[in-house]
Amino acid sequence: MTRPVFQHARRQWLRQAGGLALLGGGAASPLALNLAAISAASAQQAGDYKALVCVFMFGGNDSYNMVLPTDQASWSAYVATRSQMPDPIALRPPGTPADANASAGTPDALGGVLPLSPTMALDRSVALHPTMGALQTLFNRDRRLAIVPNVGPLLMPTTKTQFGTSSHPRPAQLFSHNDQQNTWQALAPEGASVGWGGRIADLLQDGGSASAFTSVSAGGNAVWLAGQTVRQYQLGSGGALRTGVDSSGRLFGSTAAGAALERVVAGTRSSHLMQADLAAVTRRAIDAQRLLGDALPEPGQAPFGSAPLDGSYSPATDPLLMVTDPLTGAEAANPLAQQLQTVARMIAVGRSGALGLRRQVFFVGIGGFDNHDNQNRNHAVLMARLAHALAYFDTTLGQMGALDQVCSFTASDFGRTFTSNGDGTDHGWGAHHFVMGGAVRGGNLYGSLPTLGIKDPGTNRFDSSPDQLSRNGAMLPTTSVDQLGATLARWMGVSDSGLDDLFPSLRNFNQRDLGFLQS
Amino acid sequence: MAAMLKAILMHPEARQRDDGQGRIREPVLRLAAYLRAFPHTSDTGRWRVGNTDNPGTALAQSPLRSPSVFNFYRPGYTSPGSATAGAGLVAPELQLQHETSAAGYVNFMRDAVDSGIGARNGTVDGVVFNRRDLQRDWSTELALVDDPAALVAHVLQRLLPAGATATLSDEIIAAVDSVAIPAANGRNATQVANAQRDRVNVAVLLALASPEFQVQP
Repeated sequence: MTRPVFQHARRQWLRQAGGLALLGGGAASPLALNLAAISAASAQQAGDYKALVCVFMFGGNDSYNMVLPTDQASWSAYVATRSQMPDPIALRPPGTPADANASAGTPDALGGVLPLSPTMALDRSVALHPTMGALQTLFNRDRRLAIVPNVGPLLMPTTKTQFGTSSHPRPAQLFSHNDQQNTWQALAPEGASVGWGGRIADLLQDGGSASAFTSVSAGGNAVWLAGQTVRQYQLGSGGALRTGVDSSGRLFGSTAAGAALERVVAGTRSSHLMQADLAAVTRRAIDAQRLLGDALPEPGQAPFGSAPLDGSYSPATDPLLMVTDPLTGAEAANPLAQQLQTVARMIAVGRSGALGLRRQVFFVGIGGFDNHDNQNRNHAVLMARLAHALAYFDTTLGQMGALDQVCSFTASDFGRTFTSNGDGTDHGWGAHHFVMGGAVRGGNLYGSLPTLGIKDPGTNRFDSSPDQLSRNGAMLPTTSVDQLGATLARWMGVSDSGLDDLFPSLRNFNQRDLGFLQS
Repeated sequence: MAAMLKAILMHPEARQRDDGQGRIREPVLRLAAYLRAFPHTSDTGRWRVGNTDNPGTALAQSPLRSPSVFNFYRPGYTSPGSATAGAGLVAPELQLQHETSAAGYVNFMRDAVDSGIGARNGTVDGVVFNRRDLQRDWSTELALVDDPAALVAHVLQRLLPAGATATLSDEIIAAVDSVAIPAANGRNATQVANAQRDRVNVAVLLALASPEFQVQP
């Protein structure tokens, strides 16, 4: 189409800006290399099923209070740094009993951090947030949970000295929420349109028309799920919804009106781009509902949920999907568990073979992690939700017999500062994360726990740690998102050359496989 | 001030019409545009629209309830694989648009057109309502049901004041016509009234569901 050129028109600028963003994160980004150039993945020949689940913590999780080194030196530095008044955020050491008289959510009320017992001897000891008892069990007893310490976006290995050098390559827009969410998911800042989950799906997709269910979000739209050819499909707890019509295709009693509605809402009568985009989404919704039909198991059915005592099913009141609120002690709905229930139901369909799918990627996510203040209370609730949701998912997969076929991993915008601002923390970079599944060599840490330092009172800098940024003690990552992603993608079946195409910085790191997954 | 207004109104972009112009109405603004086109009253006077967050059963959005300080969508959002992204355009509102919210919007508006909007009221101050709080007197539209073309022209004039294509208009007219109104025989007043109401519902819902309405020119 031809357009008049207006040199300074806002729309023109937007168009160019959009084009630049596409160049930065789309067409020219390493994730968007020619599909045909990538060698066929081994998974396409395998008659098996595997699923990868990204659990995203929006806002930037304070992993310093999720996974805690508890050896003497680390703990001293931790307590010294995080006891800033008026609302210190230093948790209590292992073995500290919860104080029922302390105000809700305070470290005293929560009690001590929960010690972990790794299978391999560490020269350091580690523990989890006090609300994460379910994950302590998964790590210590079931050995289906592992920790990847201090992981974050990196273009190449980076020392603290190199980070202070402007010529040393570093990821763009560090410390910025939206850009780092995109970088974790798509290895480029905001504007990126192809994520590595979607690229894994590109390489491994099968199932013909059912390949629409290769990449599924139970949360909102996520760039992680978007491939070059694979589009993400959003599935809510209500299952695949019909659009306007009843089960017989009627609208207000009329079959003709029902058919007309489909043509109106999912068709276009002009070449307008936004109308085309809206119609295309609805077209996918209608087609997917027809394809999936009633194949999705009911949410109120074991092992996914519990049948309602009376009335209709609601995930908000299903005891299996409710978490004990650490502030009130009451049972409360857990939105993350609700999303993982939807994922489990879709996995049941996927691995049944009904859709001809052998690989699926899933995305779930909850927000609220940007705790610049009131962190003690907010973070306790979030940690309890995460632990409960992951444990629910593990239990459900166990009852489905699918533990070995599903690997879940956590992700977040970034970690946070080691320093406290009085009742919260600010934006950081590297962070500790979990991987979970039957194929995970659990009960271990894969990577390097950072040395925790104390601010030098003379320089006011964290000079005593090579792993912490000088000013605020945020972690300088020692493991890259590319390495984490490549380990997961290899398990899914992406070939070695495919890994280099998906993860452009991988070649800059010695270790291409972090080793937490059985091959 | 006059110069500023003139500059805005005469700006080339404001006068330019092409396939990438306009913006997608975010879901709450679709509801607002509907209510502006077809004014409602509130049984309680409290406009109990309530929470419309649920993407599957409502609008995936409620006023003042964005999930984070970054609002409902990013200004730089491009929808992966979309036509707008292919043209190098950002389309922030598409961040709220996915299979569940697309179906959810149509289902929510279907129920809104048919039954009103918001929380259900039982008996309020001795008055029995047993219906949703926001209601409309559809008598203007009901007077047109025997002439589907006139009914659809009336509805489209309100919802798509910039004009609808004949294709869309004809499609909706045929759909309205497909709802048969039984001949009144003195015993079927309810069936006749229901069918008349269904014709109005079909006309309004199909206009609301059209991508033409969902994009603000």
